[in-house]
Amino acid sequence: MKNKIFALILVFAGLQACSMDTVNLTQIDSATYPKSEDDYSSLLISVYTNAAYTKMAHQHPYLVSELNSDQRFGGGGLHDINVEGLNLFKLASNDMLENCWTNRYTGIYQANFILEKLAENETLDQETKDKISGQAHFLRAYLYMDLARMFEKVPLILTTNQPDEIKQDEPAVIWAQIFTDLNAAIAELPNQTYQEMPADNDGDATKWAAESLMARAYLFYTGFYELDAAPLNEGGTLTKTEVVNYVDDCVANSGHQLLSDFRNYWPYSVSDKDYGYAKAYNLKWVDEFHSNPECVWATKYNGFGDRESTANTLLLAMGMRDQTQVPFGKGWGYGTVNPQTWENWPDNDLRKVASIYSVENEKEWVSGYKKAVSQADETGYWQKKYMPINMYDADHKATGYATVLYGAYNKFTMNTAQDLTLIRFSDVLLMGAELGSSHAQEYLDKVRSRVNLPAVPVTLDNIKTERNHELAFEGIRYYDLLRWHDAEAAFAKVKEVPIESGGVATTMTINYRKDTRGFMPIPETEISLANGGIVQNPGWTSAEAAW
Amino acid sequence: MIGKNITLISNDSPTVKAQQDERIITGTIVDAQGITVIGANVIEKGTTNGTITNLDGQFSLTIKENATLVISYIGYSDQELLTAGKSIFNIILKEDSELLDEVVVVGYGVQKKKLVTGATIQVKGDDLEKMNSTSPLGAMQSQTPGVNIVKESGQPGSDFKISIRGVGTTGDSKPLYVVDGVTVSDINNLSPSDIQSIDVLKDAASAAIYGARAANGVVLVTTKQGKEGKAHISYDGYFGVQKLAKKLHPLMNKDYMDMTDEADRNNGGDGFEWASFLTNYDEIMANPNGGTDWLNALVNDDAYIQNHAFNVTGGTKQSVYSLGLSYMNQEGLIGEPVTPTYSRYNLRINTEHTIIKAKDFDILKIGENLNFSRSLRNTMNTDGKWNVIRSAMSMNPLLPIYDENGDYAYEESYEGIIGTCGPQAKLDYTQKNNKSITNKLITNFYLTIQPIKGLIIRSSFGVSGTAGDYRNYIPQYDLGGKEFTIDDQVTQQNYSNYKYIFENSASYKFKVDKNNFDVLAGTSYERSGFGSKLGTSNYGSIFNDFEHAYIDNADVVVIGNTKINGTPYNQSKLNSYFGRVNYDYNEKYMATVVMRADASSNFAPKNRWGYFPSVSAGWLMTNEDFMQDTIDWLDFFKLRASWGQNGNQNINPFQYLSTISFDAKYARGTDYLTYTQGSYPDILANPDVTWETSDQTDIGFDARLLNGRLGVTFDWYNKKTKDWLVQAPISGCIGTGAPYINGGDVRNRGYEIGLSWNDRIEDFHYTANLNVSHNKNEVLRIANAEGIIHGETNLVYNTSPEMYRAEVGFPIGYFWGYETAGVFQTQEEINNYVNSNGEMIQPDAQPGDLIFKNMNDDDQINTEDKVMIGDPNPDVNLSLAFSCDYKGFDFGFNASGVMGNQIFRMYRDWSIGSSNNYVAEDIEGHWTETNPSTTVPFLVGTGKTVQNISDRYVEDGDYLRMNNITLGYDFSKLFKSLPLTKARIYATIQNAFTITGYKGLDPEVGSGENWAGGIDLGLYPSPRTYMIGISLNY
Repeated sequence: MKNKIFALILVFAGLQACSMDTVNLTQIDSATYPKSEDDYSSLLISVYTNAAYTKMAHQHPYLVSELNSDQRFGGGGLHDINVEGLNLFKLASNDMLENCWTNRYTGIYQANFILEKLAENETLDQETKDKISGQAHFLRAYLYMDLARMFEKVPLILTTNQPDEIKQDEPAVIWAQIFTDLNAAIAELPNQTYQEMPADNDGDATKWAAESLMARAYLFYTGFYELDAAPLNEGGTLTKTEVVNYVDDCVANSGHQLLSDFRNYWPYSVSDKDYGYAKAYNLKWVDEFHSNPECVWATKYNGFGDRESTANTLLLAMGMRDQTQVPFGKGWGYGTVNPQTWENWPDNDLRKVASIYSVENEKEWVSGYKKAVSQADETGYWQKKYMPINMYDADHKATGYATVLYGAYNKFTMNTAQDLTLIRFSDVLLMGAELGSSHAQEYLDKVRSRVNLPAVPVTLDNIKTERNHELAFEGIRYYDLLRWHDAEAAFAKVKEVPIESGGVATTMTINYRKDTRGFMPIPETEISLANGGIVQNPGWTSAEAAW
Repeated sequence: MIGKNITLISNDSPTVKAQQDERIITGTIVDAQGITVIGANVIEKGTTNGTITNLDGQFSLTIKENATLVISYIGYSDQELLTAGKSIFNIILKEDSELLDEVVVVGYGVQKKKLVTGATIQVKGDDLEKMNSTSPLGAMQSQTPGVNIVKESGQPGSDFKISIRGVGTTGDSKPLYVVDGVTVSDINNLSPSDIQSIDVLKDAASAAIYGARAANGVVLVTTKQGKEGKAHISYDGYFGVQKLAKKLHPLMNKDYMDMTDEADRNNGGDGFEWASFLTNYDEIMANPNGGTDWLNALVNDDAYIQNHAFNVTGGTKQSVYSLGLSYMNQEGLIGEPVTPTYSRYNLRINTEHTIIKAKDFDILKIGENLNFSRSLRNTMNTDGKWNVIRSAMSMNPLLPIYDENGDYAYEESYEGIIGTCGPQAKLDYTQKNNKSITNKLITNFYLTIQPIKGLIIRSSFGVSGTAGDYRNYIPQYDLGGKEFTIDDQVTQQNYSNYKYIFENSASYKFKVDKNNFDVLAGTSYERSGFGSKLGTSNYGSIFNDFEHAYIDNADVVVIGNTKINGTPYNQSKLNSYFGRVNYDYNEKYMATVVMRADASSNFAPKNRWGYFPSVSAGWLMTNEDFMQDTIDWLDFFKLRASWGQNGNQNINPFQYLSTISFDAKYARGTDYLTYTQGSYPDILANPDVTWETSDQTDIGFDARLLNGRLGVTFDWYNKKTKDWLVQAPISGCIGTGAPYINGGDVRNRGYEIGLSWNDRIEDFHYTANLNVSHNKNEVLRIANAEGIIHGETNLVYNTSPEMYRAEVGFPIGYFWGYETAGVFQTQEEINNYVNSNGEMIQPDAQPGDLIFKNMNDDDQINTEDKVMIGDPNPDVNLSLAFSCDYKGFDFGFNASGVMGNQIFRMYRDWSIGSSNNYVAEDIEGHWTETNPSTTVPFLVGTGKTVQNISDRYVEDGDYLRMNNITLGYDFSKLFKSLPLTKARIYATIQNAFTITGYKGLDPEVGSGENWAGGIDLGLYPSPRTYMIGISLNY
């Protein structure tokens, strides 16, 4: 009997002696992914998504730098302290740029993952590997550059393994990585002209974008830190000559070129029937379907979805409060234009009216502007490069162009679709001129002659003015001021500029604080999670920084 | 002769044996409730002479002079009576469970309560049922010392936060629930009327038999089982109406404008030109105390609740059965015009059959338990800072609910001081049309084989499953720039999820002299995650209503609009072996040893196995000879001690790998109406993650004094959770999700005292219970660099910093912020607020601002000055119950409360958004120049320090709530001719009153999906309910 009982127990015990492994039915894991070229492309898309992320518009590096610049004020509603904080160099909240910080690092982690996995990959051919690796290197450099220009000393992390400690690195170390990554990207990315590239790949990083970004990085690093050469990893250096060669290569071989009319770059020119200004100059928007050779690199958007995915919320943020006009649509009113920018801009430069909408300018042929009660920092001047653009729809209602032309959702909060140009070809030309290319004069002339301005000699002063006017409101200005060490002087002029806030006349004075050296506050959460490895940037713990 | 006498005497010589010393006795047998007992055995001791009681509970028997009668009846303890000198007997049977031989459920078996050496507590089904709670947990709330049960929301059908002996983790601190041997994730769907008993295993030794998942304690639910005897049928039903227990007072028109102006002026503004942008300014000013009380408008007064339960129990010697059918339906008190509802149907079928019987034991028995429930819910969002109640409290009163056309009013523009739309409108459009149906099945089939007496082999196969569906309809609406939909939207979801548990055990009871052994060995194999979810949502219904909100009626596929997802459940396997030895020497010295080994598929192969041992011992001192002197006042005294380890494996599987997400979207290329999908690793892998262990020591005693009138139970425990499974936050520089790590240690230490008193003064019988438990929670170790697990940011308002955390040396989830030291009265005070170097600490302050304590003597107030400003964990849980009955009347009340905890209350962003309304309770007595308050700061619109997380928002959360007061009368005593053994009618008030100093709506704050608790952002309050009910027994 007892034996039988034992046998019975053993049978029961044996029934469950099966495998303890389970299968993950919904998620692929890093043990088996990525494998194919498609897998890698998909991983890259995710990095682009992070670079392009605009849900927290005021934390997007483009808008941060615009609000930081002397050309624009905070704007927004009367209680938008986050934009006001950036404008006034004040701490609106302890984690003012947390989203920006984590977003950049998320992209970096993903780029690191791609590069690590690619190094182990034995099935893809070299050409494919290079194409993927080149983009990952480019994106990592781009994201670190955002961080290094905004926060200066950030932890440099190049692997997906959790580091033992989170520690700030010195600028030379971070920038050496940026230059090294860009060198790699230039070497790896295909040598294909803009015209040869497939339209479906619009938005991908190209060799030309990498060469241009290299020039931008080099100019910032050597300018800001007042050095002659830039460091590379493992002790090498990047010379100015190499950078000039990259720019020259880009100008000569990329297929990128200037549009014949400066204004056709910007979507307001789409309203050639309804917008008096566009009609008067017979403008024709170049659109964004691989038809714009002047765009070297942009992050892409469409009016497809809600604000969390693919619409460009920066546009919505910068639209005018409470206005529904043709062509300028409404938004939250961020980044009103400093009237001094308008006043100091010569009238003979067509880019003045092409870039700024003065609400009182009769030559706009736009009527009905009403100053909004809750608009902060109202100046009567709005930039018009990045502005929600309306057309008349079939019912003659002012509607976003993406809705009228492409069938995007008919809601002003969702249909802002304009791409954000991060590198424009005229910037490349001007950087080439500034770097002292043998074609410097030719480059500068090209930019000026396109807008019917006479040639001027290539001097730093002339280049400064040219950049200010050619690239206004494109996220360029603030870092130009920093690298030229012109910020203090520029902000000194922004004193008691008349504005209106909430319909009440007041003035705007920006107190640029030298002790910050132009860098932004590191999010407090990141400081505490780094356990002493990160200290707050100078100038951001003082009483002047407090809101 | 009275009645029909059935004698067991052999028929051959009834009269011959009649001798002179024989006589006839008669009597009636009733139970403790006075109900006559039919079929009770009455036997003359030492003979075969006997009878059973008739339909009226009466008997008549011829016995020898001076014989002893033995009365026995199943479920009741045997009684012996001397007959000398008496011929009419009125006998009251005592239920077995009232004796110390009562058994408790201990996991894979039962044990005599008097021999239990661990800390367990049993709540009887009757005690649960009489609370008239819709959920068993709600009914347990005031009856289980050491178990903290907090309602997550007052919305019907809401869940509870439960922790046994303190919170030991920032993860899931729910106990393991076992219903009739089947492990389930919650018991909210059970009807209290189906429950026979709930046993809570609190200490590690008791829970160790469930090793792997017992770290947070174990709750064993036994549903009502069949009983041999005639069918007992019962009906219980009640009906009630619910009322708001407490009101808050948002400011009305004039006050609102004055306060908003005052805040603006304190902010450097000039106040608002109300006349210039309010089109109906004159109308508003004509009625200064008018305006919309959005909060009050949400109240659905007299919301009803009803419950009906039928139970049938009975059986024969071969088969016993217990059937239950119940229905409940409750309307939410808050939510007008949406009105959340919850209704539930429960069905229970429990049977057991003896197939093969030996002479004095059952060889083969089979049985089955089946519990099915179907619940239907219509819900609204009550969580987080966007919850409707908070929106209603901070919505400005100037906007009417409806416009002149009877449509919801809204302000077209995002502009101006007026916000977009009222909470009612949004509620109506987005949260009205939804219904979730949940079908739950908990069932098992078992057989027991007893090949030799005392050796029981039990095999049980259990299944628990949930299947349900959900539908939602959001009409097309436009409430201004921020609140709109593009088109109407239909959502339809279906899911089903099952698991099985296959358990085999063998137990053997034997005796060697006075040494009693009860040995158990067993195995358990559990697989879960059979099933999948399927969900779709789409725009553009052709019917435009909820009734027709099915995907077929909105079947035009548009990329981006049409959402489809289908996923399986996470599969997991748990493979376990366990053993237990219960030993006692002559019921005097007891010891129990338990060992359980578990393997869990949630961990990487090398970390799968966990081993969980426990030992416990007890000493029943009153069984010692030397204790005989105390027997006249001390009936029973047992000392016990235990130590053991339990585990927790409750994390998502595959944490040991980096999983890939595919939800990135990018508008690559030239397509204008779609996007390219992107993928990324969403979590940092941790290949080392393994079991969390809870290590607990318990010392206690049980005593009964004064002839069983006074009961005392005491326990002291020290519970340490080690290698706590946490998802500790990592630096944003890591760039992906934090992995689970075995990241820390937490200690919970405390004691529990239970006192009970019951007595009878003639026909007046009364019982009183007092339970007090004390717990102290402290984090001992956290394995990341700073020793902190940070709470959420953006929790209490947009951009709000972290305000709760787990940190070494502090209780879990303590509130972290600034201490204040009153309010600045003058500029001079501000100037004089300096550190030791004479530097001003708050130079930007204005009179009326809060004074923040400077902890580090620097020249500013920043995060370094933040300290613990409150603790959401109560020091003391308290419950109090009283019941009495007198001649058919019964009365009882039941109260519970907590002490020593704090609540963080924030009904409003104290900064951004000047159009937000204030609640009068929030700003009462605020500082103005003419009313220089020293505690409540001035009102200020934007970006000022009042918004800082500080003790200004922390209040003591002590309360004592009268959960239930009931008065009843049993008419069966009055109308004896009724065929009913009970016909009780009663009236109840639930949540009759609450004694508390807390200013918010309800001090029972369990809201939120965070681990802190005690954060009141506008809680759905518990209603006050007035009920009448009836109980009928046949």
